[in-house]
Amino acid sequence: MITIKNLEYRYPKSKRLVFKDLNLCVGDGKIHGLLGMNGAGKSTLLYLMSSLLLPSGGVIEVNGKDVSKRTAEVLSEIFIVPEEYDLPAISLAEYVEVNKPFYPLFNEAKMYEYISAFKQPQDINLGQLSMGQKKKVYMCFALATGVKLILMDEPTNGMDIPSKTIFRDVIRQVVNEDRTILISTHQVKDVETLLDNIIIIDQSKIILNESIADIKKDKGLSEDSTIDLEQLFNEVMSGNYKEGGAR
Amino acid sequence: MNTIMNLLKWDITTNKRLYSLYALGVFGTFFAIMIFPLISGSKTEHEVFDGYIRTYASQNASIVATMMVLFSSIMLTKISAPYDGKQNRISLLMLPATMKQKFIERLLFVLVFVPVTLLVLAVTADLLHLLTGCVFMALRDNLHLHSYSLELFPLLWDGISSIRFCDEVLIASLYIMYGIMCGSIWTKRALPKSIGLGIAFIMILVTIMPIYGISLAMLPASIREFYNDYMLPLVTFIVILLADVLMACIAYKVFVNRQVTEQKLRHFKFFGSK
Repeated sequence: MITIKNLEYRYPKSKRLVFKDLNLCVGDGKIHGLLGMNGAGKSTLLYLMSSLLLPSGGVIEVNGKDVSKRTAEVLSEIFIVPEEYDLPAISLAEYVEVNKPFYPLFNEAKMYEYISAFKQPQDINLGQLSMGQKKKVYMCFALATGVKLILMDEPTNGMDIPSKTIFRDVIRQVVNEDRTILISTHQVKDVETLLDNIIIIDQSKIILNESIADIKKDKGLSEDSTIDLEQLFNEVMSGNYKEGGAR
Repeated sequence: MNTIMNLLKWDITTNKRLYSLYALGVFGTFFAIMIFPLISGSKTEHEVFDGYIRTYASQNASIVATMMVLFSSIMLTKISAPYDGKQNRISLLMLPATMKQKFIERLLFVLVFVPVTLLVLAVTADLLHLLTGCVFMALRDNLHLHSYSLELFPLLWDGISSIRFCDEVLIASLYIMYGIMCGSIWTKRALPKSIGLGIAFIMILVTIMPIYGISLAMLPASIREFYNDYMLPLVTFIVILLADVLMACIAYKVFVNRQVTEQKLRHFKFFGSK
């Protein structure tokens, strides 16, 4: 579980606070979607959750541990897949060889299974891959690490259409009671059927943090119906939808 | 210790292309300097070989040692080089190891791994220089190969025995810690920046000291006057040690508080940071 208490953050060169007194609780074993306008602070929030940025105030805890302390124990529970990623110019086998000792639960067979699912060759030099391919390989590695929290920033950007379907299938496979996936995206159509919970951030505040099941109840929709996230986002942003409104 | 070794392996493997280029450059420089007298004609063949093939290091220990110090210094200022670029910072910061372990790994890299590699490269370049010398000699009828003289061990022994402990070690520690501190602060162009900072510091001292009636030229004599012979080494030792500790603390604090964004020194929290 991720708990954020009274978070404050400002970039070193800026006087403007990106977050002020932000509070958020993200439950375990679900796929959460983090939505917001450009510049709302989605990527910054992911970086703060993974201790890539250190907060100016407040605390972020992952399973009760303060992430800003950057202990090996905390870091071995979190993996971030950034929007753009550059992998070193080494073979996949070498990459796995030097990274797996840091992840005790790493499952190499699973990683190759995911890579096959994405129709990527296994004998590859990471430096020669396109951005989309790098993203797939890095994502496969992330999913095989066995960490409890995976943070993904725009995971479907740069992916071809078949890969987006495979991405959804693979993500569904890996989520269990212990594992939480937080996806920050503007490509809501790509993850519409995947998400269990929606978090919308605007002007440094969480304006919605609600499960898809509850949103459906609020809207009077059946359980097997699909929510149009784009429409929901617009409703929330314009104030036409309130969390728990109908309940 | 196991984690630090894993970090070292991770560092060397993920940056192997960059490190290989460095090594190639260093090897090329060593070899070029060693072979220069032979190909430039600046020395006669007789002066170079005088009937024997000797290692370059055995005859020019100071040049080889200076080059080793120069290359080591460059690498000292590269302690934070893996943090150069956003993607690299993400990779290193997210590795499940404490920041202390990551700092120790980089220290090991620049203080042990690099000097050992430089020594191996120097010896290999010298051996290649010997082989090239053999070819040169074989191509000339007027010179004859008499014997090989591999004088590497005397060189090493001379180098070690020439270090007079205390003074040199203290000064070297100051130099090393300064390089590490500057390398921790700057991920890009740390070497010219550290040289610039050093020059600026000396210039400020030279400007400020006369205001307080202190002459830089007379400073050693003034200190000697102030402290007696017994106290002077102790005071020097304490002052240098304190400077070392201060620079080590700055280097450590900057290194462990690094974030994914580019930071200037003023953005680092030195007190009360986690």
